[in-house]
Amino acid sequence: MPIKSLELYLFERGLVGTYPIEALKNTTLGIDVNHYVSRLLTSKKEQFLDAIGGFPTSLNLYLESDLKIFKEYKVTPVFIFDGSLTANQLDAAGYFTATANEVAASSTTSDLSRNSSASSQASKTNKELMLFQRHKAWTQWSNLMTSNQNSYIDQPLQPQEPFRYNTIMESKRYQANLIDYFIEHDITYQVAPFTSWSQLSYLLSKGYIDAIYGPTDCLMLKNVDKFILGMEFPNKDFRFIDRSRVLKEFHLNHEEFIDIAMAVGNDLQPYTLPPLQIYPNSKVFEIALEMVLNTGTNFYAYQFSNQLDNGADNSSSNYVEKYHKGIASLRYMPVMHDNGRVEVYLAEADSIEQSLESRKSSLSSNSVSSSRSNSDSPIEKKMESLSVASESTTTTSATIGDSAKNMAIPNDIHDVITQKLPAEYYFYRSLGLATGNLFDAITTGVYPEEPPLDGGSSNSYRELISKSVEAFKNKEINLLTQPINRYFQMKQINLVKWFSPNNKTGLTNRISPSIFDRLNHLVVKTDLNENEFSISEFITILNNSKDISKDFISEDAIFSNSLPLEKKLTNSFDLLSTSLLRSLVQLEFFEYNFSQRILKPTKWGEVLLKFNDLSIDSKFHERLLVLLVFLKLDTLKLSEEIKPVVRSALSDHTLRSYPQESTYILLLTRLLTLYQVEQKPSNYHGPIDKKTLIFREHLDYVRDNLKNLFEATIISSLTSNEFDRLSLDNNDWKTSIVHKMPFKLALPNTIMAMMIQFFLQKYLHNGNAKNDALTLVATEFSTYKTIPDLGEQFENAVEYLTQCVNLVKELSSQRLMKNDEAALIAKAVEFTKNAILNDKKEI
Amino acid sequence: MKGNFKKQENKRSSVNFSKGNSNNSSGSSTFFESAETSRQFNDRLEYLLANSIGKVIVATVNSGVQYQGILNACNLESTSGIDLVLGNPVKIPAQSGAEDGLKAELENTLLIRGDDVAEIELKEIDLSLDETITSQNKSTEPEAVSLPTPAPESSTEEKEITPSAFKTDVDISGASKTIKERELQRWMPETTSDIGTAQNQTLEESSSTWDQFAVNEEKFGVKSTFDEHFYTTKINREDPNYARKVKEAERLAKEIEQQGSSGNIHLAEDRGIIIDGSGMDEEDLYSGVDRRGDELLASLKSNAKPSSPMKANKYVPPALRNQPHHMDPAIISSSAAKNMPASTGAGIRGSAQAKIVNKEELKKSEPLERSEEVKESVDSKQSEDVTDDKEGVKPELSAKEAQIEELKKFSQKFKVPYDVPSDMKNVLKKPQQQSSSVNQKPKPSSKNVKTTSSPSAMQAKIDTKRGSSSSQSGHTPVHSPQTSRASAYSRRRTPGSFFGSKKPQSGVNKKELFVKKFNFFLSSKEAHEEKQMEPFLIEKPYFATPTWTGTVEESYKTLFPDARTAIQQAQERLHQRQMHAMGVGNPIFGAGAPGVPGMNVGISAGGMGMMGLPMGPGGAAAGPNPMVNSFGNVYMPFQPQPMFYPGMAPMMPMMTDENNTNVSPQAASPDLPPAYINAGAPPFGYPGAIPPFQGMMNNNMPGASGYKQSYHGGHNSSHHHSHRQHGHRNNNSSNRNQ
Repeated sequence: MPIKSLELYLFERGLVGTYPIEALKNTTLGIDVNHYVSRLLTSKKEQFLDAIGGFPTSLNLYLESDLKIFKEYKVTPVFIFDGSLTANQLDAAGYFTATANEVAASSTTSDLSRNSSASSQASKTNKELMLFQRHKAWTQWSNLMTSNQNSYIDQPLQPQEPFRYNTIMESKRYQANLIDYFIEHDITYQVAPFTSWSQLSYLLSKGYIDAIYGPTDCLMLKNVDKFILGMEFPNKDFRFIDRSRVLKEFHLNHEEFIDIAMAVGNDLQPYTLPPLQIYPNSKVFEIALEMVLNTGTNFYAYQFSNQLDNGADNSSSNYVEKYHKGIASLRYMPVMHDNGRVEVYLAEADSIEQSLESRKSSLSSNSVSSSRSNSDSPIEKKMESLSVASESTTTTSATIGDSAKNMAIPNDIHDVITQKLPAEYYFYRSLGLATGNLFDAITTGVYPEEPPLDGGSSNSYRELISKSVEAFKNKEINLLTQPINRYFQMKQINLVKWFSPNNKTGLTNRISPSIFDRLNHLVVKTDLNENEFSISEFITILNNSKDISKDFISEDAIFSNSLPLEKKLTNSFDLLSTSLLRSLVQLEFFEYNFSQRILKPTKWGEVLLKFNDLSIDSKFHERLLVLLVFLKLDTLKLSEEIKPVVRSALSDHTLRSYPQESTYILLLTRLLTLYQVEQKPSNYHGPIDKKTLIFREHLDYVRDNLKNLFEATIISSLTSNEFDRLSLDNNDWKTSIVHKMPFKLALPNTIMAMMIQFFLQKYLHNGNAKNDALTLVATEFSTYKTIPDLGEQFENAVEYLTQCVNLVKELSSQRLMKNDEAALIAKAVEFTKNAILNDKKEI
Repeated sequence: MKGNFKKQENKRSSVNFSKGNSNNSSGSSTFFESAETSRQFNDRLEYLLANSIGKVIVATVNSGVQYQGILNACNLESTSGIDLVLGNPVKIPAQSGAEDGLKAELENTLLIRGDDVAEIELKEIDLSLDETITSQNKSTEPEAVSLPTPAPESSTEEKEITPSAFKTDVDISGASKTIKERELQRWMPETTSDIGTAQNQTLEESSSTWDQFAVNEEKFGVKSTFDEHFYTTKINREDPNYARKVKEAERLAKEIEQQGSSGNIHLAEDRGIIIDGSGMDEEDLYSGVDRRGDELLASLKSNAKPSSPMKANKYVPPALRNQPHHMDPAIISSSAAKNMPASTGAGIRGSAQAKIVNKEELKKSEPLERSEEVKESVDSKQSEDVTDDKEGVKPELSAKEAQIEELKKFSQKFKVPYDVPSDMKNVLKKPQQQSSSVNQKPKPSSKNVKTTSSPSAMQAKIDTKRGSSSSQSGHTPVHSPQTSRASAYSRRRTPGSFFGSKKPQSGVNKKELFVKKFNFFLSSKEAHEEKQMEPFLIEKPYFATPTWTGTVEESYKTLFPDARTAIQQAQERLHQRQMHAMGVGNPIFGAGAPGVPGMNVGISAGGMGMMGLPMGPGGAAAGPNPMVNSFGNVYMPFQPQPMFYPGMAPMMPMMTDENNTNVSPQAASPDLPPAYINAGAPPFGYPGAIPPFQGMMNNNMPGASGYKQSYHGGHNSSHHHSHRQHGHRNNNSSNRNQ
């Protein structure tokens, strides 16, 4: 989150300069992904994204065109993602309560929304606003549905209220998809250990990039003189900010600017502190600036005065603490150094502390000190280079004496940032190999379960969460804490759910023997370098084995250092397959006992191994595996209604007149949530379906947990030296491992499910006139823009559904699914097939 | 607690001054800016002390003992601080008990040497003195005017000692009665309007034609003998060649104009060419040093295309061609003076200077040849490159060597003020070879080489420079230089300007860095390989501590001042801000920065706005102040707290003090002297502070200072005056800058 309201104000004051993009020719540009994505997806775009789920397709469109321009000017973009959040940020994101407070606030204040307006917004966090808007949109949507209950027959309604608020985009949600895109297009990216723009400042000062494209927070960085705030690709211009000019115009020194930034709220201290909370959000910086210029207000001191006035009130000391943490995290932000280690980076040893110090000492002499520290002084330069030499800093800087005082790193930064993890973990995260939410759970002791897009009121979803503890989370935590410091092995980690934040579930990190010890003899070792990993390939390998227990149980523990490298996993295929096998064992798709040398598929595993035989297209393997795991968790049957009941997107007329077909449609939509319609990137505007979305969120939740489990498994394998980690450079890691990892990408959106649903509804009401139905879908979903051949898409969907039927039949034959349910699905697909394929014939 | 703050304030003011007095260049004090500034502070101190004579003060000596007494005299001239003479000294019982013995020792007067004085607390400075002098109609008794209405809190620590107990010199002499001033009269415009309308008009708006000669003659009978042909050549239109000459003139004019403004925006503007000035600030337009010539270097540096077609067209000033391409115009001009003697006579000397000492043997033959050559080049007005010539002419090779030697010498001394881009280092490794090979390249020996030397020659030259100089400046505009005006404009927006001196180099594949670097495994292996031969094992994550490596056993919280200190600092800063407002040398923005005067006005105008009053004209000069305009009314009602800092409470009595005195026009001046004396006066938003603004309202225009100035000119209260003087300067300068 940038410094509140500053950007607008900079434009108002004319402090934003413009240069042609040409000026960046041949440069390397470091881009803050969060900032960049927020710029691309402004509030007007992808307004219904949160109602359909999935990845915002228009983002691809913008990325593509931007990258084209970069290429044209030979600009090398380097995208930097945000990493872990600092204590302040976690707090503001509602991390510790899994946004329980924000959820509560969003539902209670919904009616007051009109009145609360500007002034109270300043005190609301980003998350709060986001949830609030989502809640508001859903409320309005259900009202709309109710009011049109009678008139709605087969013409689907469109929502009026956007589901996104004008808040900062959470690029985290799309991180995996973006990384995938970047790998595909050979674009350099990196996930910062913490704040992305701090990492950018490091990269800039070390010369890895030439300029920063980042948020206004960069103004708080002393070593960044100019940075790019925005790109106007159509004009081939970019907007930049010159820090010294801004400070000059504002008549502020650096210290005062930071004071204001901390008071109005910025990325590192996201709260607006008193007395600014009462002012409109959009003016808060301006007002703070006026206060400083006119009355010399020091917001830090103000927090104290506030404290004194309020007496015992706790909140104000919280403000002081937040302020402290904000400043401290700015100063001591760890970044990933070019040696791959994550260390505190002190290039920011700015004047704050120095002048604070000098003020402290000179207070008695009443010096009107504002001595600007000269950060270019040779000593500091020297110190900086010393601090890079991480470990040695302790002794060296201690000996340097007084000047070292300002460069000193306090010993409790973990309170401000978070606890530190091994460099190796940060490295995996920087590649995108690890998403990082498990890391955060380990460092913070909290594994938050935030509400899904639909609000998560369904019982089955909540049940899914409680089942996930045993099925996934305990294992993940154990896998990840086992290789690292004992402290983490003992540390209490709680699952916190948004709907009952006080009812915490402790996660078990100690399992004996540890999960890794149980699994480490499971090894898939093909030594075939040319194999590209995919689930279907993995299934083939298993199927080709005559005796899987013999082929995949290794007698030696391959992590041993005494083992020569060639006995270890040598290529990415083996690494990924081994991890997948181990994950599947944990998911009880395979039965495994090392002492008896038993490895055999369970019923679920057998179904999985038949994927290829069931002529299921390999591109659906991953998603159908997710479906299998979901069915295995058994919280909601495919034909089961969601409780509490959610209004179907079908009209009451349809439900009443065609009860059987309505059941078909329900089943179809659920299966189709795993099918991504092929469309051109666009901002979606069209009907929405909450019920389908709820189901999609169920599946996505399972996918997310599968992803975490897989990541934990692969990391445990890597850290224990089962794989030759020196054989790969960063690009190899990215292309051969990160890119191939399963479960990374978000599940499809609900568009295809809705299209089929509304198509069939129209089809039913219109006396089975298929053309009308097609036309309806084409207009309602504006497919003429995005989907060149709707008929073809429908056929593909039917093809997919047919494969699903094969799977379902197999499941029922293994008695993993009730026969009548499977039969129902088969009928439903048959019904669709008739509707769509016949329709085609008639044309 | 509250009393403490008050004391702190007083202490601070006094100690501060004594420090400033004795230790002007103290690093920790900010009063090192200029002699001017510290003089002003000294004046203020003097003023305060002079006003305190006869008043009770408290002096703290180095041992910590405090003496209260009447200030009889003080010596400001002392080098060691301020010597004090206290009358009726009393030791302030710091800790009860021990002082009894001392008390007996104290006599009627106590003399404290300057270096013993740690602190002086001026208890009852009566600054109302000036008002008593100047306001003739007021009571002669200063008490009536200046007695502070004692605020309830004020008595917490101090004893009330009425100022009337001691008569000051002024009181005794009754000077207030005798001071007379001219009665000020308001200037009225003369009502006679005989020359009326025309005179009141400005030149631009005058509707009637104005013939100054006619008016002069009519009014004063002066006959003008002015003839424009005294000053210019008369054009003989009867000349038979007139038509031809006009044509010729037009051709010349066109020629000149077609030369283009060569990127000089100012020139272009003067010629009436419309400039798209957007994206350029005033500095770029009119003031900044033109960095052209960088392109030459750039195109050469990127030396991928040695014979860029664009480059041939590029005009390079002769002085530049021969130079190592430093960007500092000062260096360029100075070395130009060395190498390119402008006249023949100077040429001999110049080249002699240019010679390197160990090239003695050349000295005799060289100067002559060289001077001839220079003459020639000057005559032909060709910007022929001397070095190039020499390269072509064999006998002069040694001269060239001398020059190279000279450049080498220069390069040893010359340090690039910016970071050398990493890739430049690579470039610099090779150049020796390059330059030597290029040097042997045959050159056209003709002296008639056209203005621009051939690209290859240029290349060679630069390479030579590279070979000799250890570093290069970092400018590398990527654009090919062009001659048209439009390109001149775009050139000014080249990367050089965005990236400043740190223009990134082209052709570096930084992407590669991201592939190899930031890899924990690879780099630890690398680091390992440098050290020992033992087998490398990847560091076990087990050993990483959950805490970050700290260097001190302290909490981050210790970096922050506690509540009390923070509030004090805030007060200090307010103080500081007000000093800035007064135009005291501004350590942050630099005195004389264009922003400063604007800010001064801005503050007073802003203050006005906050009161919900219309802004004075100063506001406009201070730049748009939208918040004040639109939120002026909002601001006060929303004022969340009655005051900003509780620590300010003890300042209240002082404030009221000032409020009373504000009746006089002086205290109402916008340069805020009362606030200054108050040291950390409460913020203006603070309701208690409203009265001062009532005075300010009247004077909210910068023009008001003019009035004040004359007003002060009339009387002479020396300390006070010098104090004011400074305020005037400030206001004047702000007027000027508007």
